[in-house]
Amino acid sequence: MIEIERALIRFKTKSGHVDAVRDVSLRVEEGEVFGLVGESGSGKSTLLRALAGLTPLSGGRISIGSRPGSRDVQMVFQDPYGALHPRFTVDKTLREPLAINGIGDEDTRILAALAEVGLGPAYRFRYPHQLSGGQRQRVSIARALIVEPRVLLLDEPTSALDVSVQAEILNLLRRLHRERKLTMILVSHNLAVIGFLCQRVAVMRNGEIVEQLGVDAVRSRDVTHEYTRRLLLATEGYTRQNA
Amino acid sequence: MPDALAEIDGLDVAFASHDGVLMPAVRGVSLTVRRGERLGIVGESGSGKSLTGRALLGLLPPEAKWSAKALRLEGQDLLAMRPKARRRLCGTRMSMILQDPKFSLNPVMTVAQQMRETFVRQGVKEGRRALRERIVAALEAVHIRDPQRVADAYPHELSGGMGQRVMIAMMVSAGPRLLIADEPTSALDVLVSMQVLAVLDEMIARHDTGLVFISHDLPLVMSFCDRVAVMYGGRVVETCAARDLVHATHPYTRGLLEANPPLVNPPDELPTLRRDPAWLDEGIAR
Amino acid sequence: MEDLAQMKQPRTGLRAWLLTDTPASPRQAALGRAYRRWRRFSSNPLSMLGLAILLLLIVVAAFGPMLVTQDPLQQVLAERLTPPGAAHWFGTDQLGRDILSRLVHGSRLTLAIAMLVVVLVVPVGLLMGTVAGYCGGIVDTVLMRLTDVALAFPKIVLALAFAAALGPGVLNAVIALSITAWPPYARLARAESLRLAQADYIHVARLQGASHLRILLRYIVPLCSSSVIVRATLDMAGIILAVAGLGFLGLGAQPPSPEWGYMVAAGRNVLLDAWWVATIPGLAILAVSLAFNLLGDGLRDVFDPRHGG
Repeated sequence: MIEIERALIRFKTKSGHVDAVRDVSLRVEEGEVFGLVGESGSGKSTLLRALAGLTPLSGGRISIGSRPGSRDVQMVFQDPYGALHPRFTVDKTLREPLAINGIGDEDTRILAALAEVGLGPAYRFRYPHQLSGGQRQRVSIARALIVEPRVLLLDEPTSALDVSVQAEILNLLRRLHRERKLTMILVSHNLAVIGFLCQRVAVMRNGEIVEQLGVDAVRSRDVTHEYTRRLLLATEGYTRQNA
Repeated sequence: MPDALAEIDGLDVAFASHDGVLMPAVRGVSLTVRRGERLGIVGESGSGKSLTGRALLGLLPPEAKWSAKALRLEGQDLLAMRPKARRRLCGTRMSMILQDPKFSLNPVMTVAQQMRETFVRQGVKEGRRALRERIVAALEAVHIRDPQRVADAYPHELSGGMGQRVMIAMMVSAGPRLLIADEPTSALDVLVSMQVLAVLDEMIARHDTGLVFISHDLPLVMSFCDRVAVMYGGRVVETCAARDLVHATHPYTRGLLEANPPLVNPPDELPTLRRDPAWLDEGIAR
Repeated sequence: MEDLAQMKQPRTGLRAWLLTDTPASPRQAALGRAYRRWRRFSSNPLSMLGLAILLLLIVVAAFGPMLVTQDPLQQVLAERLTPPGAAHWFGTDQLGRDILSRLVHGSRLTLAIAMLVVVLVVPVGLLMGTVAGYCGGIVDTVLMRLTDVALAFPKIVLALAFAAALGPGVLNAVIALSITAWPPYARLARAESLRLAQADYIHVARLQGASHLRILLRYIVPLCSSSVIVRATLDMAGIILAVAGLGFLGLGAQPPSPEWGYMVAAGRNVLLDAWWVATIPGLAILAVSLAFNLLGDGLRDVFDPRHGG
C-alpha cells in the first residue's frame, strides 16, 4: 500500500545542509498500523510530512497506493491547540472538507462524523476555545475521516494530552481502525502507545531507521539494536541508584 | 511534626475570572515533606499541583488570591515572615527547577554569568577566578563533559537535557534544604530524561535535599519518589508511599494507573476514567 | 478543568441562550460569540466612552443638519464674532455664520472622510499583506517593495502635489492620504499571515484539497482582519487630524465648506479675541480623535487571542 524507497530529505542551512531523513526504506501493507518511534530529531515527523506531501523529498521515492487526485491520505497533528481554525465552529470545520470536495448530505455526514468520534450534537456549534484538548483532537480525527480516506497519518496525536484523555483517544483510534479498515502510520516517542496500536514498528534515530520489527518482538524484548533496548528500558521508569 | 522539612496546611488559591467570579484552583491542600524525603505530587493539567509547589516559594502569579493556615520551612513560619526575608530563603534554603530551560534560563546571559549571579545571591563571596572554578566544578558535578565550553555558551545553544543539567547545577549545587521540581523532564526525550533524573538523584542524595517532584507522569513519580500525593480538582485525593501506590484505593488514582497503556499484555481497550463529580468535594489531607 | 467551570451559577432567558455552552445553530454560536465580545468590551468604561462619543457623532451627522435652524453658510455681518450665548450657542465667526450649525454640518464631512479612508485603505492593505505573507518568495518581495515605495511618500507633500495637479478639495485630500496610509496595514497583515501560514489547520486544508485562493480568503484573511481593524480604528484619529491639518493649510476643504480643520484655520487670526471660533471646532476634533483611540484600545482587548479572539 505504502512504499518508501531510500528516501532522503535534505534541508539547506546557512552552513551547508542537514539530512533530516537519510536512506529510509519501508513498506506498509494495506490495513496495517505501522509505528515510527524515535526521539526528537530522529526524522520521524519529517518522514510523515513527506508522506502527506507537505515536505518534498530530496531523493528516493514514495509511492502510496491511492487514487490520484483523491483525498485518500489525511493527517492528524500533535498540537490540539493549533489543529483547528480559531474562527470556525466545529460544524464549519467539518463542513469545509465536504464543500471543497463537493460531497453532499453535509448535515447527516457531520452528525455521523461527530458521533463516530464520541462527540454528541451539543458540540456541533462550539468554537475551538470552548473545547478541551481531547475534544479538539477528536474533532481533528473526525475532520480527517469525514472524507473517507484510506490512509491516516498521525503525528504524536496524544503527546499533548493528559494520560486519561490519551487512553480515550487511543481506544477511539483502535476502534476506528477496526471499523474502517484504515491503513495507519503512527509517529510517537512513546513505545507503550505504539505497542497498543501498532503491529509493526520502525525505530528511527538521526534520520535513519535503526531497526524494524514486529511489536510482539518488542514486547518479548527480542530486539537487536542497542538503541531500541535503551528505549525499551526507559519505558519502565527510573531505577534509583541509591534507594 | 518534629522532623518536618516543609509543611503546607490548608492552602487555598483562587483566580478571579473576568466577570469577577472567584475560580478556586487549589482547595484546602495540606502536605508535609520530611528531611531528605522525596514527595511526588501527581495530577493532570488543572489539578493545581504547580500552584501548590509555587506557593511554598512565594512564586504565585500576582493575580492569584491565596491563603493558608500554615506554611513552614524547617519550622520557620513563612506566612509571618517579611517578604525580604522570605526572598532570601529562595535560592539558598529552598530552590526550584522548572520545565523548559529555554524559558527558565535568561536568554541574554551566558551560563557562567547566570551561575555567577546565582552564587553571589546565595552568599558566596569569592573573587572572579575562584567563582569561575566553582562554576566549572558545579557543571562537572552534573556530568557535563565540556564544562568550560558550556559555561561560556548561551542557553539557546544548549540542548534540552544540557539546559536542565545547568539548572540543576545552578539550583542544587548550593545544597538547598528543599528543592521543588516542576515537571523537570516533561520537555525532554525519554532517554535524556533518564540521564537528567540520574543527575538529580545524585545531587539531592549528596546534599540530603528534600524534594517535591511535580509531574503528570504517575509511573515516573512512582519510580523516583518515596511518597506520592495525587491531586484532582485542586485537592489531594490520595497520599501514600510510592511502592504502595499500585494498591491505591481511590478510584481516580486507580484510573490514572490503569489509563497508561502497558507494553506487555495490553488490554483490548484501555480502561477510561469516569470522573465522578463527588471527587471534587472530598479530600484526604495527610 | 471542565468540572470546576461547570460550577458557575445557572443563567436564564436571553443571556442563557447567548452564553450557552452548546449552541444549536451557527447563528446562535455567532451571536453568542458577539455577545461575549460585547461583554468584554462593555466592561471597560473608557471604551464605552469612546463608543458613546462616536455614536453621538453619527447621530449628529445623520440628524443634526435637519434640526439645526440656522444656515451654516449664511453670513450675517452684523452679528460677526458674537460670543457663545442664547441666540448662537457656540457663537459666530468672522462672517457672522453660526458656529454650531457649521459644526453640525461639518460632522458629516468628518465622518465621511473617516469612512472613505477606511474603505479605501483597509481592503487594499489587507489583501496585499496576506497575499505577500502566504505566497512568500518573489510575490512577497515584489509586493513588499511596492509597499516600501508607498511608505516613502510624505503625506503632506503628496497632498500638495495632488492639490497642484487636480485642484484642492476634500476628495483629493482623502485620496492623497489613502495612498500613503495603506502600507502599515499591508505590513501588519503580512506579519500575521506569515505566522498563520504555518498553522496545522492550513496544512490540513491543503491535504483536503483546498485551493490556495480558498485558504487565503476563507482561512487567513478572517484571522488577520481583527488586528487590521484595531489598527484602522487607532489610525482614524490620525487621519482626521491629517485632513484637518490639510484643511488648515488650505489643501483640503475649501471655503465656505464647514470642515472642522478649515474652521480652526479660519479662526486663528481672532484666537485671542474670539477664542470660540477656533477652539470649539478644535475641541470637536479632539473629542472624535480621542473617541477613536479609546474604541481602538477596547477593540484590541476584545480581539485578544487569549480569550478566543
